Amino acid sequence: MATELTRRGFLGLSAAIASTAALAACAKPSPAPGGSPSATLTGAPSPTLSPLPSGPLTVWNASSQLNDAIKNVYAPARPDVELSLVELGMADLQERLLVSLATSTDLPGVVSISSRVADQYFATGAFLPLGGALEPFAGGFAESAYITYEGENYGYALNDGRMGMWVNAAYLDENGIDAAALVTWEEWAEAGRKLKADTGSTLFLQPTGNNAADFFASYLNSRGTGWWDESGKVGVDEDVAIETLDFMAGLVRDGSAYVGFWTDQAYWEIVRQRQVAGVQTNFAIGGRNLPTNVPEQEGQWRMAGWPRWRSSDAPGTGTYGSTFFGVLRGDNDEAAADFATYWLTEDGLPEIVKAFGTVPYAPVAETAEGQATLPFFGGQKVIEDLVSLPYPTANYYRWSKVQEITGFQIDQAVQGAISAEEAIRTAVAQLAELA
Amino acid sequence: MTAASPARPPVRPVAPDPRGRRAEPEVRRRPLRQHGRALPYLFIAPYFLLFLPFGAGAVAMAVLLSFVSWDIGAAPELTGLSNYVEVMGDPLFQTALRNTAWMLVAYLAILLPLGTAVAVALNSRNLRGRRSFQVALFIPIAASLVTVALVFQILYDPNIGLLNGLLTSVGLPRVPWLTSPAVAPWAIIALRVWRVVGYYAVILFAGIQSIPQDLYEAAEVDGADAWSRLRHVTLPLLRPVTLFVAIAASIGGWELFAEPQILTEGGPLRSTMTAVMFIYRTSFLEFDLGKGAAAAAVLAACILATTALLNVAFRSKT
Amino acid sequence: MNRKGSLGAYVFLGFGAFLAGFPILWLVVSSLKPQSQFANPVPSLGSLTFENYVVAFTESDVGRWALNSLLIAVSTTILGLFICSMAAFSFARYQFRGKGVLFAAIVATVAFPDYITLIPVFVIERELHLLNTTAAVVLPLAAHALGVFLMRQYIAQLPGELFDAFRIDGSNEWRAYWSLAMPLVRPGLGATGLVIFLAAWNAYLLPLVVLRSPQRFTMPLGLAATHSQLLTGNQSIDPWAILTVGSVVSIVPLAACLIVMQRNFISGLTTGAVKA
Repeated sequence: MATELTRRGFLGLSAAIASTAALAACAKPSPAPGGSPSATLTGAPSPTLSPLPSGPLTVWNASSQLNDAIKNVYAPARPDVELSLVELGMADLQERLLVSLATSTDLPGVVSISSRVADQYFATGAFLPLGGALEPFAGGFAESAYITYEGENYGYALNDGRMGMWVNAAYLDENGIDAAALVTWEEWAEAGRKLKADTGSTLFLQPTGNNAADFFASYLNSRGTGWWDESGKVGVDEDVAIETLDFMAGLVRDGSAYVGFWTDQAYWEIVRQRQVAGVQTNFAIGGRNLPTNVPEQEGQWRMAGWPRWRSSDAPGTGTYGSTFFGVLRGDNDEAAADFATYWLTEDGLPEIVKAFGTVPYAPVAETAEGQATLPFFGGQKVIEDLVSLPYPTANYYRWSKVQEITGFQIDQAVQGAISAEEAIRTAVAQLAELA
Repeated sequence: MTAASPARPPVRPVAPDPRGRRAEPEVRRRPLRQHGRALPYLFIAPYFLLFLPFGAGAVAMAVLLSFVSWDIGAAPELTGLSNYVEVMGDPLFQTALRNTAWMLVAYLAILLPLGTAVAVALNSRNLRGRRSFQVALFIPIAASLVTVALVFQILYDPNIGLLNGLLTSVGLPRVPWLTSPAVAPWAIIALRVWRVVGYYAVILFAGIQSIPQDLYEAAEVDGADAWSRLRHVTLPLLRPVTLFVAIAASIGGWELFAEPQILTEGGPLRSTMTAVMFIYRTSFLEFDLGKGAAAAAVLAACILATTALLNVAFRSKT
Repeated sequence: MNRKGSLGAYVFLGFGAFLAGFPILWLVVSSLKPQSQFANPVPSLGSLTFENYVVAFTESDVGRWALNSLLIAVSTTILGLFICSMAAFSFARYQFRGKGVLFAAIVATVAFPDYITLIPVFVIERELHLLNTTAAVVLPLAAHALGVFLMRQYIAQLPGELFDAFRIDGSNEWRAYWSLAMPLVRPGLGATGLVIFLAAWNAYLLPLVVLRSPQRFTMPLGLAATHSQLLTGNQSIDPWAILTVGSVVSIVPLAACLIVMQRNFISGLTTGAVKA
């Protein structure tokens, strides 16, 4: 594994970046939710509001496991809040939210939203910036882990969208491949070809459609670029994009990529049968869904970090995006903002980790869950390893259109119907028409 | 089917006309003195009480929406026809409409004959277990679409799906059911047909059951065999119900949404992108309600045109 | 039909029933499996258990969803059959000013998918204070456009002399509708009832936005929420258990409706009086 020093060093670096952001955040005029927050850096801060919020609060949540935590942990901790909890799938929630927003009817206090489409929601003006409410926790976040819009801070990523290369190291070992020794993408691709030739199993994932767009975007932001720049104009480094897309197409050409998605009904069965021996994915899938769905492969898997493009590159990774709790302006902003930030407190943080695996909040690495040596991964401290990677910056803007446009081009290039260059140029041209 | 009860007035036997036209003049030729002028309106009043707000009113508002530009959170602004111009020029909409149209034709071409065949089979004399067959055939539409889609997702899976398993077990190659742009639309159509054929067959069967038995008896006496009876008695007299089925199925075909949305999300390579998927994504994902409404209006025009066409094609002069 | 024809019918229908029923049979078997071994096509008969049903009914809201759906579907069907058949009777039997326009208006609304009328209906219901009630789902769905169309087709087939004879006896128009026409178009009522029941049971988008509190959720909403749990992984109850049980539970009322409609309306009626 990479050196201890490097991981700790990067943890410190993230914290340094974050505290600068915290100082900047302190300058924002947004009202604090009450009480006197104490600024803390590491450790799990737990500012106590006095008095605790009360009154009715409606929460629309998309995660079932967090619903249990909401009912069993949050609710008793806020006995005066009359909580009304609606649980639905993310797509259904967003349909409902749109109708409520368009007609200004029966809006919830808090709602789960995907960070990728957040800009459209914030543009309605119905959401409450959380700058002040997040002050107590500022020390633990990389700035890019906040959900921001036009300079205001509207929330934080609940789940960690950072990507890792998850591999069945035991299976690779059986076939003469040492996963720990692979560093660059080219080395990984070579290993993939060998595995395919020897066993027919795939080492990589290649999604299609909208998922391909999100997936590709995570590669882009791992390389410090992305479709949009901060000002909302098309600002992608086309050469980098072409090289990346070409690489992906190569993996599919080699046959070393499973073309599909981890939500395919049959995916885990294929993993179980070892036809899939690796997947590039975020922690929620790799660190939680994988052990839950394929328990028989306990001990075989490792999270191998994120490969580098050149061996001289610093370690880094991309983010797939995340969900967050958006707070809407309403009758009980205090309780709503408190709910949104509860999950960073000493009591809430373990629940989030149980529900989502990890959050991009530095103190999580110090919690018991964060320090856990996961037997499924042969005792690897997966959260710690993942959290040590820097948090990338991703600019999502008009993402639904981006998915449609770029997903289509990516699919064509990956299937070999067009060249990577043509795909990127067309995508850039069509995106430029949007801006 | 029992004979007419003697208490009813005697009815003259009428030879079946292949075009199903009645030989009798009807009530409508009579003067309107038989009932108050208001009476017809009283009969339709309860329906219209609900229809006006929730049917016509909602549609009118939706059409109005197509003429506005609405940033959610701000007030809508009238923009005339610009939404329509944008929609008609949108290559994604053109693709979606094209896909929907050809999938519709294929869908009807398979569904109508198949449904009729099933209904005729259900009508077989002395068929045992008719009720059980009907229930079995009806079940696909009774099951929740979400679950059915999941089941079919597994069925169609290229690696461990049952269909490919069957194919490989007899030495045939695997079919990329949902991953090939050429095959995926057919896989979706097959799912839709599977889901609705029993439903429409039951409706058609109800229609066949309404055909009076004496007509069949008369035809048999004339020496017509089963096939001939089908062509000259059943099918013509079934036309009103067949028209309903054709219209209902064509609307369902134009509005195809849930199956491709769940199974393929419009892919691969937009091959299963349908018109309502475009409307959904424009309205609910891109928040452009005006443009979505315009697309819906265009789609409605296509549906109405198809309905009119079917009306003409299946015209039964009742 | 001769016996050979009947045999052909049996084979055809049997194959059709198998194709139709097989995926559902798979669902039923899945609902009886002890764990989510969905990839295992043939579980041993001895391992089948009802524990998924117990879990689903005691620890999830499947029971409540089913009851809500049932209430909505039955109410919509009864109300819908009344108003649709009355309106259809008028359209089929009478001439009146505006008849063509009104009927065309009804048929025209079918051309608009519910995604686009969703916000208008929502706003209308909000103004009428109907949100979060059973009526919120029942009222729009009872005014079923295709229901009127279908009933009209059936009623229009009834010959004029019947009604003339009826009127000669001095009966009023309401009795013409209720006592004469309706019994004769029982197959139509059955088919229309089925159409409406199905639409109400499977309704998804409208309930999603007009039913505000989770206690009122219907089965499709509940199952969709469960489906999304499959994608996120890690739940306290196995979503497959809820999905398969919910699906099987859903089929029961619909199959019951079909049987009821069938027995009472579709087959075994006196058809001698009905003439082309």
